[in-house]
Amino acid sequence: MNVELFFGRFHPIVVHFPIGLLVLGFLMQIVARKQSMQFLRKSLPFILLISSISALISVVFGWWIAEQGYPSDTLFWHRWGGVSVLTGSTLLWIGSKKSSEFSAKYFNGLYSIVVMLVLVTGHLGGNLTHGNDYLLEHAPRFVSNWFEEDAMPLEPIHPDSATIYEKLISPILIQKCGSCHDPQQNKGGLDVTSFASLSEGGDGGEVIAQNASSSELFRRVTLPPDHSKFMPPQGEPLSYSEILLLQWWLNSDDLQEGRLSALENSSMLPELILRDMGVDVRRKALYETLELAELDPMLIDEIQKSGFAVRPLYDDSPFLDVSLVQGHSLKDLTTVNKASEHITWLDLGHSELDNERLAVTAALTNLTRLELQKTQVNDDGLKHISQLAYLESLNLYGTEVSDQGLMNLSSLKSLKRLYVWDTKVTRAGAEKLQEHLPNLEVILGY
Amino acid sequence: MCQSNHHKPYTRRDFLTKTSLGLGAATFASFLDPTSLAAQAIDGIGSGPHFAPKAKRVIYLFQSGAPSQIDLFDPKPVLTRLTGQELPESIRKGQRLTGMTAGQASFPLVGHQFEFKQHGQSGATLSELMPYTAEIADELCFIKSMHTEAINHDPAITFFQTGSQFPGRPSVGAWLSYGLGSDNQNLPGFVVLVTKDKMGQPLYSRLWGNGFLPSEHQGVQFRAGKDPVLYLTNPPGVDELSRGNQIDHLNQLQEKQYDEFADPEIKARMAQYEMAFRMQTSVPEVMDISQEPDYIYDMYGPDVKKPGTFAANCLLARRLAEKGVKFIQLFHQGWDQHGALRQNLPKQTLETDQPSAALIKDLKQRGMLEDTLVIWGGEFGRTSYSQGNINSEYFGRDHHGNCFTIFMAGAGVKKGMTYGQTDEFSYNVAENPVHIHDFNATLLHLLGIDHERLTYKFQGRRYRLTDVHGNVVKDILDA
Repeated sequence: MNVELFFGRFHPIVVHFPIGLLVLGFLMQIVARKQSMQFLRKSLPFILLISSISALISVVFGWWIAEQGYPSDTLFWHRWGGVSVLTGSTLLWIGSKKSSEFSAKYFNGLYSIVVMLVLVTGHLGGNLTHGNDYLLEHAPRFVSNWFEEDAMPLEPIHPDSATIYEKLISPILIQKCGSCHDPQQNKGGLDVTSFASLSEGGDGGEVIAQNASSSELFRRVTLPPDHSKFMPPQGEPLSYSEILLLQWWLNSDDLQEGRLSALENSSMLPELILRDMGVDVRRKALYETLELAELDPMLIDEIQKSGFAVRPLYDDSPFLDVSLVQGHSLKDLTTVNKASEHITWLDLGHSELDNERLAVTAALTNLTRLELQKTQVNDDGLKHISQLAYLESLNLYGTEVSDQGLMNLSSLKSLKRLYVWDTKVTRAGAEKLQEHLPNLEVILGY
Repeated sequence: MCQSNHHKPYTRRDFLTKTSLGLGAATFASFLDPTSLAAQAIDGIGSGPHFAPKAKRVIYLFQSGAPSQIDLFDPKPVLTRLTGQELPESIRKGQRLTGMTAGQASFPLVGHQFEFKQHGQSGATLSELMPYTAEIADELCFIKSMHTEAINHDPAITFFQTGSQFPGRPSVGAWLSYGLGSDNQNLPGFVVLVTKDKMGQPLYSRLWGNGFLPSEHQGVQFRAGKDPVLYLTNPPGVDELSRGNQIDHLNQLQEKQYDEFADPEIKARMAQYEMAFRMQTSVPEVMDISQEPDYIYDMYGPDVKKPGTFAANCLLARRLAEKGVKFIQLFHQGWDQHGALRQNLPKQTLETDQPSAALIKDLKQRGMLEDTLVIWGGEFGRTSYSQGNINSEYFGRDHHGNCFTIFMAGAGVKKGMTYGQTDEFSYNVAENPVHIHDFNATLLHLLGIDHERLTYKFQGRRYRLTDVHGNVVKDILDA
């Protein structure tokens, strides 16, 4: 009804009357304890009457505005706090008129409670209008620290083992839709609390389909909010992040088993999911996800003695960046092999490295960058590195590799950049490899 | 040669104040890579990056004199439309003028003098003067909202290089050498190449100096000509063997002196003598570009075979990068178009456009662009209003620090991006300002250094490149 929508919005205006008047009355009650100010007592019943009337109007308007989409928790307490203030104010008015019978102690006690209710309810009302951290936004540091909620703890889940449905989609559906669409209420025959029941759909048929655009669930939550079919009809609608995520999920291949790690490649979602849902699905570098014990310094020394420069990736990192010291000849790589788990960047470029010695690198399972430019490595040698699961960058410029050998690299699922300038590799060969590895950039040179 | 001479020494004060921590750090660090002992930072934190770096080396193509952003990168149709009209006071907001235009009666706006187009998939805006750069526009990250308080060249370049308008502080390259060490024992970690015979604003060796850091971290200028490094080669009659013996004996004397006085500069001097000895072989080798294939010469343009030109220096920069030099800085003067903008700007870009682009392409095809950071830019921008009579053929633009453009390519920066916006008059920054301190903080960040943690204690307090300022510009970082 238009009347409700229109007048409901006057609640924030009208409500200032009872607030101001009740507090004024309380102050008068306190000040009137002084003999010279006793006259103030005479005004009290009038003030309390106006307070109660305006409180009544506020409550009615408030009841109407409550339907216009506010967070349910805060709304609940604010609503009933307001009703309590109305009740208290009315009692106070009655009590103030019968001043001789009503004991001053009870009166003052009740008034104190009502004033506290006004403050709390009023604050909640402010939160409803402006948001929970409205007052804290510009508060001095020592104040905001005191009130700071613990940042949503980041879930230490491994993105490869957790599913999108379980960790992200299901909680959203249960929170926003579950009050009506659960096994008990089962509105419209739809139960969103389990994947099986979600897939079954409701009375009108399936709600999740091949993709987002043919999904009835998606259609309903993205309708204009005043549409009669809009979901959810009451309470908070789905947020921007939730809708974006829902759309992505409905368009993905495996709804039930799709892993969180698949979200890495999306450009917007990881940041949004981190911000709003506290789940970190951003793509992580290997050295951030893997834990390793530090390598024995003696071993590092040994590697250095055979002509390699060894540095940790950064100050305390167990991961190593190993390169051949300029000008040293490459003897053999067996010492390097001893740090097989720790070496993540390896530079053997511009050396006499050949296929045979390259074989040793197959054991360096955590390699992410491998530089083999201007060496004797050719197509056969590439077989040795075909199983490096985390390799992201491979430099083969100036070697004898060709299109044939390139196919040895088709199982390097993490490979992102391949440098093959000044080799026998052609554009056709590169494109063929990219069919297997769609995220791969092949740099053929200028 | 024994590397341990690079080990920063203990003064008595150090010993008394930092015994346990210091001794521990000294011994542990020696287990690690010998080449990084060059940067044994007892006052600094650690002897390597604070977190995983994206870039291992930097090639900084510094365009001295201040290239006009309006005519090269940031065209403004409003200026063209309002050509001849006065710069509105609401835009100028009382910005100070230099002595060169303060005497002008009027400040007529003048639009960009060259055609602009958008290039590549990223749609980067570039003027017709930079066709080669336009070809690789998708590799570049433009920052259009750079700003500085400096209004004249010397303070401005000093600000960019050292983090302060007042001279005396170490340059970026020196800080990096101090914080990260060197990757190559035979070449300095910080090399400077200045284009020969260019007229323009003067450059001083303090722009690549070490300030108060130990002198082994200073930049070494390689010159075009017979002797790339002055006083490096042996004089006639002195051969390598006798020079080696001389240095050994000199070292013995220096050690004695050091034992008595414990002056850190003695160690620095010894280190540099030894480095010089190794450089006698390594420098001629790296400076010799005669063995490059023809297609490389073609890529860099016709100037590349003339030693001392910007093109030749770009090619050298690539060679130095291949050898592991961490910080290579090129200076190219002559961008200070106070007059004859239409005539001289094209001459400048003719010298720099093709080689800069060629350098980036060359690094990319060798797989080096993914861990090398290339920076191109000057010390400030130029005014939207004309200097000199606007109706003259030879008008110019004055200095302007409130907004200017820089571009970067390579390790860790987003490709095909334009960050920040200026207002319609190219006078003030409208969105996402990047101050020089922010830029330097980001530069250090890309090399794995937390700019707030790389410090050096001098005159009683800790200094850092960004002093007490600077925020890393996270939006241009690639993941």
